[in-house]
Amino acid sequence: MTVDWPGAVVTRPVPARVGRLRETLALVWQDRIGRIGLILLAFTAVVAIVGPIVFPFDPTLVGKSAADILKPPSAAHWLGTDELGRDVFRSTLEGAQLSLIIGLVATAISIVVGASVGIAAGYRLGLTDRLLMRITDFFLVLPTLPLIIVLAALFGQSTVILVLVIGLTSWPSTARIVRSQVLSLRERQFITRVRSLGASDVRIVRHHILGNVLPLIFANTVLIIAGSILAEATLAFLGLGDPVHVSWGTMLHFAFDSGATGRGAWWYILPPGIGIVLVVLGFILAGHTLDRILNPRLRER
Amino acid sequence: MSLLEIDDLSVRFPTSRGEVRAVDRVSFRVERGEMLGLAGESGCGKTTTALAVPRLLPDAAVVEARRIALDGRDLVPLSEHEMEAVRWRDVAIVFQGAMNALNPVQSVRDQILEPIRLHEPEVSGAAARARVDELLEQVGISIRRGRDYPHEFSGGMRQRVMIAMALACRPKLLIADEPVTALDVMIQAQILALLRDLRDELGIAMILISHDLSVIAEACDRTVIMYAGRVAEAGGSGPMFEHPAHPYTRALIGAFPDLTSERVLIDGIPGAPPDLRAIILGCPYVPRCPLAIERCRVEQPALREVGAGHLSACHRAEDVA
Repeated sequence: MTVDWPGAVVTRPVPARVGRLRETLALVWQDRIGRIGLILLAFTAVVAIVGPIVFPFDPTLVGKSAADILKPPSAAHWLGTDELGRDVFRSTLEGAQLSLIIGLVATAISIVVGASVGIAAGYRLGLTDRLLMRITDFFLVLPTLPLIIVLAALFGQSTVILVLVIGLTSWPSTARIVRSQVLSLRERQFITRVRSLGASDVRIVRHHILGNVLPLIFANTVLIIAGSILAEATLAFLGLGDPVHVSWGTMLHFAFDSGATGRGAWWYILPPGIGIVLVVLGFILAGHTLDRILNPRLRER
Repeated sequence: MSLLEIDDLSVRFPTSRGEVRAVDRVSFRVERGEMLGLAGESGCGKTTTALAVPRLLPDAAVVEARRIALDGRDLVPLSEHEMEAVRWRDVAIVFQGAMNALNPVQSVRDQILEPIRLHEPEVSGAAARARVDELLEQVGISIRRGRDYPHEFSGGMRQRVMIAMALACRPKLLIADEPVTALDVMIQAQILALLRDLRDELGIAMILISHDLSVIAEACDRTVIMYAGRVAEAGGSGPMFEHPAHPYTRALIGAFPDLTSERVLIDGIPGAPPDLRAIILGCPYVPRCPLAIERCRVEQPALREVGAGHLSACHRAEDVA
């Protein structure tokens, strides 16, 4: 009785989960804008991971005399030196790493909180939903900048606080999107069927809801990373970052502080600035393409 | 003793604009290894009646029954917890609409596995997986396709998956709710043949719900025709379709084209079923019935025997022919 009927759809066997991810990336690659985004991201990832290993940055390696300070690019210092006579090229590579790490960790916090709140609200409905959505509204209108200024004043400038604040202020949009998707999912027939099997809520959420909102969460994640990196740069530029560790934001802060702009030291300002633009652009381009592919409402078939 | 005995089952839905009597004192039996057809037009209470057995109706439904006995055990007094054990292990359901009843992002294998995991946790992982393979084979899907996702299957194949899922815990009774609706005629015949094969092979009883009389006539040993939440006629499929004893059954049969006869216009049934919120005094079919007499308007016809194992709820059953 193992006949495939003539009407059966013949497809490739074994499309595992890994295959789905690769398939999705392949779809993004097919889109011209998406491809630019992926190239930018791949480039930044290589720079951030390999760069500091090949060209390690030693923040204590300062210039020996006034002549070493804010020197234009040369054979010894490919992108010149900063106000302490340190190598800008190497600190840019180092900064790429911290900026990306802050962006990714903050996003992880944001996604976990946002997805949990969204799923809980959408699935439980009723009082849980109303309560969680009001909390979401509260965080939605919370001004990030004044909040972190206050927190930095309270706890001192630290990377951890920076990550927490960015993460805890960027989750509401995820929560709202996920909730709306869960609202429609929970009424779908296969959920009713599984419920009739006597499956617990935890099981339904873990095995059936989560898998169906994952693409949405994934697409959202990419856009949130871009926002988080930008937020880190903004806050660090205002001097709220950790001054001990180099990120693109702190580089811009010190460049501005030391009057690099006034002295025409473009080699100090442009590298971190362009770095931020490229990374954020990469995530946004890839993210929008991903959104178009994964978002059922925008999907064109 | 019959496998399933339903006595005086009523289901009411209280709504803001009055109470809907979806099922009104319905009684019938399902024998072991029997395929029973439950037929009638949309909204006549077929699905509501069947889903009342495993208690899967929405919370709003008010269910009353003198007795719903499965294998001699009355299900009515059971607690929700005791009912969990009956559901799926004794009574399984093939849900309407195979596409929507499957999780799009889970392989069909894992979905068939789920009832076993939930209802028979004592079965080891290897044994459960072996049973899934066996089930796939039984419904005619090659084992290697188990890893595939629902969108990679055709409609008929998806329905096979739904059937495999319903059989996962080896139930005594299978309720198939419109299992072949929305499939084309070729696939319909294949699915019906599969259900019959499974019945012969496993000896399970089935309730086949359909609005399509040709499906019922093809597959079922006995048929219950429902109208406006009540049983209109019940009996062996052959004799009943040959000699209907209720004007509604006769009209339903008349509404189907006959391939062998001359080209004639198909008779529709004029009018619409009554509003189930209203209290119906006599026979609910009166407004559409060509045989209606004064008695039909005032006295509700009781189900009575008009032949061997043939029941009809019509005062003029003998005049239908």
